Amino acid sequence: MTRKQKKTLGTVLTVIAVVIIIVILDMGVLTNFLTAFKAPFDISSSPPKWIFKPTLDNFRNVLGKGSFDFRLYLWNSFVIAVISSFIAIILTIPAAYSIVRFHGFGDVILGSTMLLRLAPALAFAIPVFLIFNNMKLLDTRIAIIFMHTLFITPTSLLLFIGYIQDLPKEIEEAASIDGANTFQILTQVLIPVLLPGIGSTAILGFITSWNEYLFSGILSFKKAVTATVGTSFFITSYAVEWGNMAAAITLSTIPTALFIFIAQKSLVKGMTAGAVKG
Amino acid sequence: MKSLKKNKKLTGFLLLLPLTIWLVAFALYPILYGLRLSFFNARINNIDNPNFIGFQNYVKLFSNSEFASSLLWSLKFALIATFIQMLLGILIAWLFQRDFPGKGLATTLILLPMVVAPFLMGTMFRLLFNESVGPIAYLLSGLTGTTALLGMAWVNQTIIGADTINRMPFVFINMYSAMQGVPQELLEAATMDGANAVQKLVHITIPTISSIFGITFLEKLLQSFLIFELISAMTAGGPGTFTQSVSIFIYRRAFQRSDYGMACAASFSLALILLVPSLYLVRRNTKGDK
Repeated sequence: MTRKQKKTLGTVLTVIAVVIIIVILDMGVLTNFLTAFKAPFDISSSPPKWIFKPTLDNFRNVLGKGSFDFRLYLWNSFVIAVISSFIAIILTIPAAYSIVRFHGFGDVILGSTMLLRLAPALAFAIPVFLIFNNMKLLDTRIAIIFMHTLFITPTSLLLFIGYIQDLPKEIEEAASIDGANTFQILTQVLIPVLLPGIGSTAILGFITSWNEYLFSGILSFKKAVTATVGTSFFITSYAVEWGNMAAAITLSTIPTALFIFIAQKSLVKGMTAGAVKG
Repeated sequence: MKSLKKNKKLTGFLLLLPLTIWLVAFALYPILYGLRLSFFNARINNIDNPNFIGFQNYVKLFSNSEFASSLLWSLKFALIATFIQMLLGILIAWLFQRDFPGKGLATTLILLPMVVAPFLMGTMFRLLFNESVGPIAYLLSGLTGTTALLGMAWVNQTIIGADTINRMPFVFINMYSAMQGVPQELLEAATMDGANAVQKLVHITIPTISSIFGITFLEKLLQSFLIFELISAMTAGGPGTFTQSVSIFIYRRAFQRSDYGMACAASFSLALILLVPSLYLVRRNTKGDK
């Protein structure tokens, strides 16, 4: 075999291996997607059908005015995710700026947020449930926003520290000589140059909040239910509405799946921020 | 000059204040509240006026065989799942060092399961592994001889499989990014000297990525030990208490039996057990910032 043939063979084998890996990894998402378009008798047929007449009935049921208001759950998820990542950004940009340029007790805060990321969530969930119960804040979006913001801050802080470290100190110094105070430097100098970074941090925060289950689950039961939590409502004590559930899961997966297709680079950067850095 | 320095200190402090307030209000205060509650007999009917019982919750907890077996289950799960996922993640990342057509799309498709919420992934697999209607259970029955993949005989393997699909991409992307940092010249020089692929992996690639490997490994281990959402959706800890991870045990104590005192004692003990490895990880992670 020549060197070139060997190389071609290697590439072919690699592609085959990669295809097998992808089929295994995405089998679940794909099969669930197909199930969402199946009529009830197609779902219960054995052996399972891979070719069938697709129907939109499940999506109509889920999005229509059925027993649960899944449209409201999707809206809740959206509102909570947007506001939580927004607040997290507002909290962490000045903190990151302080840690990079001012030092002081910033390291303690950085350490605590990172510890927070690793701590068992249930250690917070039980007291938080009781505290919000006391404050009559159960089943409100604001209670969920408080907690989601908290869990977005560690990654957000880490990312902004990285972005600010990469900025040349001279821009701020020039602004400072021109008489700008710290607040002005922050809003008029720093935030404009950080915009791309803010974009990817916001996407990551959105996904964190959208996918969160424990706090959304215990803090809501009717009005503030999120889409991720709401999918489980299709399992009742009488029956499991498989088709509707598959449609609900598909709808709840679309926003986050979309991001991995359109913003993969910034997502990867954020998700590996904890482990991969200088 | 001195006042300028003092001024700078104050500004640095003020910039940190909003985040600090948030952390104190929603992390520190709840943790302390929970710690206090772990010394009380606090149930749903006396939550406004719980009675102090000292260390009794802790004594009961550590003599509770269900707690012990849930810890053991989580430990076993964490070790096995982490081992499998690290191994697969590294192998796939290694495979991706080679160029092939469609690599960009392939990367995206491998990362796709990572952005699906673990709870949704679990709900999905609960359907797909269902004994009577699950298409994947049907496909696998050729291998397993049964479609009851959520029954006692197969449920542990099924959960590990589902978790691997959900979380292995995280290992893959960490290791892939790390391998990108391996000096290309070194690999080429080794090829010239006649080193084969395995030798290059063992002698060049692995030593370069060992630091990120360590961090990813430990983070994965901690995360797997605390597994909650996936199991909650797939089996809710069942059949019976067969797949009851320690997080599921605590959740059941708190939100099904409303034994908040004991649940707090359990979650606080868990936090203490994990504190040492977590602190180590935080130290290693923040070291790079200085």
